[in-house]
Amino acid sequence: MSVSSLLLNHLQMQVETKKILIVEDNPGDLFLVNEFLRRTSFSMYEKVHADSMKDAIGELQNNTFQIILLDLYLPDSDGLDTFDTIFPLSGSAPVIVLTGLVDENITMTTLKKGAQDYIVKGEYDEKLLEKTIRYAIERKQNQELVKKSEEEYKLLFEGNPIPMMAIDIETLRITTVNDACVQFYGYSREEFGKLTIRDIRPPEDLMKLDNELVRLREFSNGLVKSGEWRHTRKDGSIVYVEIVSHGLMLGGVRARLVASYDVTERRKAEEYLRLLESAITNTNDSVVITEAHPGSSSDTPIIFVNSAFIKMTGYTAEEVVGKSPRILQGPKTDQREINRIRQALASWKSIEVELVNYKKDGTEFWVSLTLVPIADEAGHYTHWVSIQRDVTARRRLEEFTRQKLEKQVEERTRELNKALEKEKELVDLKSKFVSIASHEFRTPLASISFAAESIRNYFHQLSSKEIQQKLIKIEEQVSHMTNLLEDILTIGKSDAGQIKVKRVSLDLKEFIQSIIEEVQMPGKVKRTIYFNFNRVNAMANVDEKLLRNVTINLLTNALKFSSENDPVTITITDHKDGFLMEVKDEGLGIDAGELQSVFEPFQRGSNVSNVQGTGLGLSILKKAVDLMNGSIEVESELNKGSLFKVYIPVQ
Amino acid sequence: MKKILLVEDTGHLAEEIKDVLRLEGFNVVIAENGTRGIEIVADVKPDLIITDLLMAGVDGFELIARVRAMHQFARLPIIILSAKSSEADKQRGKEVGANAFVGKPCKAHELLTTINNLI
Repeated sequence: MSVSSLLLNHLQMQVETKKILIVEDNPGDLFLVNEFLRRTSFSMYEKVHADSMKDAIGELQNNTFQIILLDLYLPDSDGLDTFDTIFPLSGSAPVIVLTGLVDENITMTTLKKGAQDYIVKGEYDEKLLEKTIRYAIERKQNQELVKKSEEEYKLLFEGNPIPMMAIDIETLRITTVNDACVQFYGYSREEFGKLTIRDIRPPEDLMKLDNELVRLREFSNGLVKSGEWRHTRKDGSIVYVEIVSHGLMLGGVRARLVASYDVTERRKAEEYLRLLESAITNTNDSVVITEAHPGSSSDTPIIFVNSAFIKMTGYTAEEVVGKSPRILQGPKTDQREINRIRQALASWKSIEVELVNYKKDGTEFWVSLTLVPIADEAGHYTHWVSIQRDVTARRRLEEFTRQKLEKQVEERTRELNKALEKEKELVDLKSKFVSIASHEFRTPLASISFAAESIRNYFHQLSSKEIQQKLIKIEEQVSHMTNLLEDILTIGKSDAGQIKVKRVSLDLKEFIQSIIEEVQMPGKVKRTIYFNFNRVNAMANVDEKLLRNVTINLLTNALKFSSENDPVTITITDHKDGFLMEVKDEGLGIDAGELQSVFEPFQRGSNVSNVQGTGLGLSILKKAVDLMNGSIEVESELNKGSLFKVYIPVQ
Repeated sequence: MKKILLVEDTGHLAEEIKDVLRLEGFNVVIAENGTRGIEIVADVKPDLIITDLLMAGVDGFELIARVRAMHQFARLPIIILSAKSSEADKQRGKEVGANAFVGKPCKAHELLTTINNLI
């Protein structure tokens, strides 16, 4: 009995007089009942009398009774009808039927319908009446309790916010469902009545269900947690539910009361978290999560590292969890970057830095590190997430590129300086050349000037032979200046890069032979020139004009600086990728001190002032050799002769 | 007859100059380079020296300096006749003791005027 109903009963006893309703039309019977009641413990109850149905209904509507004694045969109602009319109005009062012996069947029927007991008129006394009423009250009270309890339990089931159903464990039919269940699954109660629990599952889960049912039948009575299941709603959508069931007997069959807790949202959140965790665990970037202590930025113990971190650093998770990420830093870690991180930590700001970290084995590596503060739902920062990428390779490449660039810049600078120096040298050389060249013109011009002036001023004092000689001298000097001019122009062209090498295939032997014939008679005497051609192949791929210049120069020099009787020898031999041209004379030779500058312009030997020349021959020759990618050397001894060796590559 | 020592290593020019000076009544001795000039100057005892500057061995500047160092030639007129005729050359010529500077090429009367001014 609930607390409230106990209290109510108590109050009724205190405040109201307890009442007995006696419905009886026969005055004799009424008298007897009153007489007997007077001798029972119920004598203090107020006795209310009704002698018709109409009266009885009136009394029941206006009063609350503790006991109802009912005669079924009244002037305005008869038999079962009387009971059927009165009983629903009886409330919590037990109904005791007053009957005659003849009415046994009807009396039994009233008992089935809810009457507590009956008394046969003429066969009872005060003791029986006392006992009957007492038991009737007790029984009625018990019935009321049971009814109330049932209602409460029904309410607990029906009104439960958790979807619940009762199922027949053998047929798997869904026998009862509550409101929450109807709402959750979308089926009406009638529809549920036609379903088994197999019908609310995706087909692929049925095997799992069968296994579970085996288990459930074994533990049929206890509470069983079946874990998480997928259920199908009427609209076809899948929901995740956690199933808890309890065995019970329902209408004589084994059943289970099943509660389905909707965990779809939780499940989704878990899926999402699992996905995130999987992403963090499997990413190639190292992820470190540290606790954040508001106010104290110094210590942020690590609570999580992913497998990329383990791979990157060589530490196991156990070795770093609980420690500060500072264990990764070392002597080469830039303290300025660390200070930037500290400032970011102190002000809860995200930051990106690149710094040197150290692996467990001490190896240094460069990481690009992003640090982000994480806040809880209330907006309080609780953790730091740090994502680190190994950028050692990129750093090395940058360093390598930088060094390479620096080296290149250095090299270029050096080259440039060298070129500038060379350019300056060239400019110096050119101005020197111009100055010397002009000087070289001044002397023959002076000679011409004097000769011409003497002819004009002293014409009559000079013999015709003297005049003739002066005119010849003028012609000679003009011709010398013409040669000089041409040589200077040649050098100028060569310096300006205007001379292009044009290689042609020619018969070298024939070519040199023809030049020999050309230069063999510079004066009145035909000179001796020996020609040795030791090359296997007579043909050579050379620039005809340049090679001609070189050959003529060497041969004429050899002839010019030796006496008429001395022979000149020219020898051609194979050498490296080309050939060697050696021109040997037995003439004046070159002073050892002057040998070095022999190819410089306007350098004339001190022993050859009597020999005609511009002083440019050998320097032009050298330029021609250079243009052909060749080389030239000279060996000489004063008064014994010179040997010029020219190497010319043929391709 | 005044005697002139001509120090000039270009033979054809020396001959032309000598011809002109001879026709003007000078006695001309040619030295074909500086070394030779120094060698003969004391014997020749010239009234004037005309010297080139660019010569192998003893050049014109050295020749002038060494001639000036000889006591008897301290006041001897010396003319430089050279294609090398920059201001620096003229200055240096003055420093070693040259009296005049004539640049090549020059007209014959130009040289003669210079000579006559000094003798």
